[in-house]
Amino acid sequence: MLLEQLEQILDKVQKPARYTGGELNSVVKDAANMDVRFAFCFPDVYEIGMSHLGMKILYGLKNEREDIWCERVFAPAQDMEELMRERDIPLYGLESLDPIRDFDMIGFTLQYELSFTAVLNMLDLAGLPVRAAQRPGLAPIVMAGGPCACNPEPLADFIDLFVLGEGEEVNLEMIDLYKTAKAGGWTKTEYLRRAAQIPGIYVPSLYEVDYKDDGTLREICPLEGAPAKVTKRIVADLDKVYFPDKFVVPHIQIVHDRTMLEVMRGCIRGCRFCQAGFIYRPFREKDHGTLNRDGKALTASTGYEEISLTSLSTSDYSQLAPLLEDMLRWTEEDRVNLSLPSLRIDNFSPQLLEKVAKVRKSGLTFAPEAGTQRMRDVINKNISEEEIMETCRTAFAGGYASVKLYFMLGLPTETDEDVVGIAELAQRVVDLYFSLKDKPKGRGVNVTLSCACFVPKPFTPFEFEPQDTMERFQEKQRLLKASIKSKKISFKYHSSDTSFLEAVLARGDRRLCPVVEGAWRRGSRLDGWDEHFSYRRWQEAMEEHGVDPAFYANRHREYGEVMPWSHLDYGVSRRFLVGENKKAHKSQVTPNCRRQCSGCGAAGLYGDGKRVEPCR
Amino acid sequence: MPVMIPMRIFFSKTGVVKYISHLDTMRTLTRALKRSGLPIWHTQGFNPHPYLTFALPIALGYESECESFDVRLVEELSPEEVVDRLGGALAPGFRALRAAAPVMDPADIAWADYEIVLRGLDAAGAGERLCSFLGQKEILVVKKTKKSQREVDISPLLELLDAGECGDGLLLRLRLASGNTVNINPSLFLGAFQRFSGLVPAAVSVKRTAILNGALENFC
Repeated sequence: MLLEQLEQILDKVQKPARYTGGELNSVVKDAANMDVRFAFCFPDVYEIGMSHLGMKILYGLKNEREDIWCERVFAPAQDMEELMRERDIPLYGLESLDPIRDFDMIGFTLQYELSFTAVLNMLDLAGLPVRAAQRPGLAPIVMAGGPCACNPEPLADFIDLFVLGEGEEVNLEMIDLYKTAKAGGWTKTEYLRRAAQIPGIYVPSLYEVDYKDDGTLREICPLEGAPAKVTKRIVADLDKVYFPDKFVVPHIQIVHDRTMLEVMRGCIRGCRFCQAGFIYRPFREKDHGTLNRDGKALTASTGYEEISLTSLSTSDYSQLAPLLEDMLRWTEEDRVNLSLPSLRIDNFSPQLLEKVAKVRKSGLTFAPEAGTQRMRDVINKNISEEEIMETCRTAFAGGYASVKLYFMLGLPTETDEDVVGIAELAQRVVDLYFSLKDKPKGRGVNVTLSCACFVPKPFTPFEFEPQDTMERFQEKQRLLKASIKSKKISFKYHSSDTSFLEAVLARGDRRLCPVVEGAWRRGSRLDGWDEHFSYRRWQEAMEEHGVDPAFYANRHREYGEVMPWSHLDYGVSRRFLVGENKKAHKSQVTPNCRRQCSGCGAAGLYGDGKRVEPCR
Repeated sequence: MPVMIPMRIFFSKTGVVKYISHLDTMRTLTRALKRSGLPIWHTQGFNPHPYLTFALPIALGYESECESFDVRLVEELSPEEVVDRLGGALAPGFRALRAAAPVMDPADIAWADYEIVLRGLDAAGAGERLCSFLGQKEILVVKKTKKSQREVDISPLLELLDAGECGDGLLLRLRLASGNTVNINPSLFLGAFQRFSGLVPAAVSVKRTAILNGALENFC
């Protein structure tokens, strides 16, 4: 039925193939034989959501089960949304084209804070009330997971339950409990009360938050037997965990249109600004044999001509050399390209570079993150200037003439000297190029500086730190721009208002729920897109609800403060984070996890006392 | 020199895959060829890719039963095997119909036949309007190109093969001038008819059923 309705609007929208489903390897089942229908929602457009590896894993995992049908749902672009609203077409699953409001469960993945309003908008497009309390029935249960679930409080009023950590096991436990609930005619309240007993599931309605007069939290009290601390879930053995042998192959080009292999979870580095580096601990690797096998299977089932080895820091993968050897053996003949994102510079050996160069020769991207050694020590980015220069030298000698360097402005303790240091470092890279005899002939060098604004995030040693104000960011951006003397250096920077809002939401509490709703009601949708973002809508919503954003973004927090996420446990102890924060202020570095275990606490997540030794 | 056998593969594109643009169709077919493992000649050079050329690709939004593209095989294979192997690897909505050594040059293409359904109209009334529309001495439409727009009389460039009632609407079978030099897209005809008749169908579906040369032989 819906298809006919869709056909009347699809010739009026951009990229209609986003909205039809029917792609190769998409899973179609008989709805009548399903116990649980699950809508996996990505709160952004198709091209972004379809690029997300986590969705591919959880989609495949659920659809392996005969009693579950998991479908994909993305946020429609503006033109499509207008037509859907005009013609009362409810948000639907791409596999069945059935309205998702009739599904059993609706799950969102929270990849970044600015997608929060898209979550509300999708619920509304589905024809559901955005507030959890206004959805009294058992179905649909609205859940969410992903990195931003580590502080889900700004969404606490809208989402029934959050899954903390890795979803492969807990998702199925959650669904099985739902099956019992459905069969037994439980109420939603009863289901949520029982779900809260599953490790890794956080039911926000079962916690009461009490505030002090100064606006900070006094305490977070569990109700009805919910655990005082909810600990995130991990998968102990990555070689045994489910990984798809098929990806849905999109009809239109998406952002990451290739086979992706996840070589490891976690990161040994411990850069103090990096939330992913802490919330994905403990560090675990996949065996190179597993990866090679998955790569082959996916190439055969998708026809992709590129494989990307993804992780937070792929050059730290201890079996990189044997993996590349295994894979290059068949990928060259099969005309499949290998790409290695996230290469850190300090272990970028000439041998590795040669292998990468064999694969692809485009620009190289490095992230020194800060311009001076002092600043890099503060953030525990253990790279020296010598190493940066040595890497650039190797890269230039290998034929690269374009280097992109990532930095952050506004890091804790940053001075003007550190800001100017970014320009000076770029200049030295340019000078290095011209000093080399074996530089690529006939081409000029191009150094791109890409500068983000630092956003302090929960579960990092910088969770206590104030963010620079928007004015201060703009001053620093001007200073940096003025410090660049060479035309070989180009400078790109992020707008400070999106980073400010990110900081507010990242460390926000439940009092931001009405603000998120207010911004959405004012038209906020796809805020991750510059062309759709409007700070004004957020500002108005904050004013309406008497919320001071500086309280969340620019305030220094004491080590003992109860954080909005204090009842959630990601394995890394508060004691460790405080220690790291103190070391940062003394410009002291911490060795990486492979050199020495610093006792962050994440190994405790293995549970049952089996694994207490350092992560390798 | 390796062998190099030109092969023309005919396929259909029906159902929701009509919403895939030509560029994306090429990408989809390239991936299907890769999955099929067919020994296709790749361009040489720094970034080798399979060499595919298309004759008269269908526009976005329309179905087709007569699409084709040319590849070169580097191993001798029967057309049946090519069809079987590609057919097994295609995305839903695409079907490999047949394969053969190319006979005609795509430049020989002169006409294409379409099946058009206009839904939500009174078929008898609409049929009458269609007759008077086609009975005009001239049918002037504005044809836009990248650089300019000009008025063209399309009356010699189209032929109504058949018209009749179909469910809640009107079914037309229409032959339109097609090819590299003169190409009349069904939307051009439909726009002109809509302006003339004032009839706005609830939905329109278009399917291309044949591609013909000047002698009205099927493109092969």
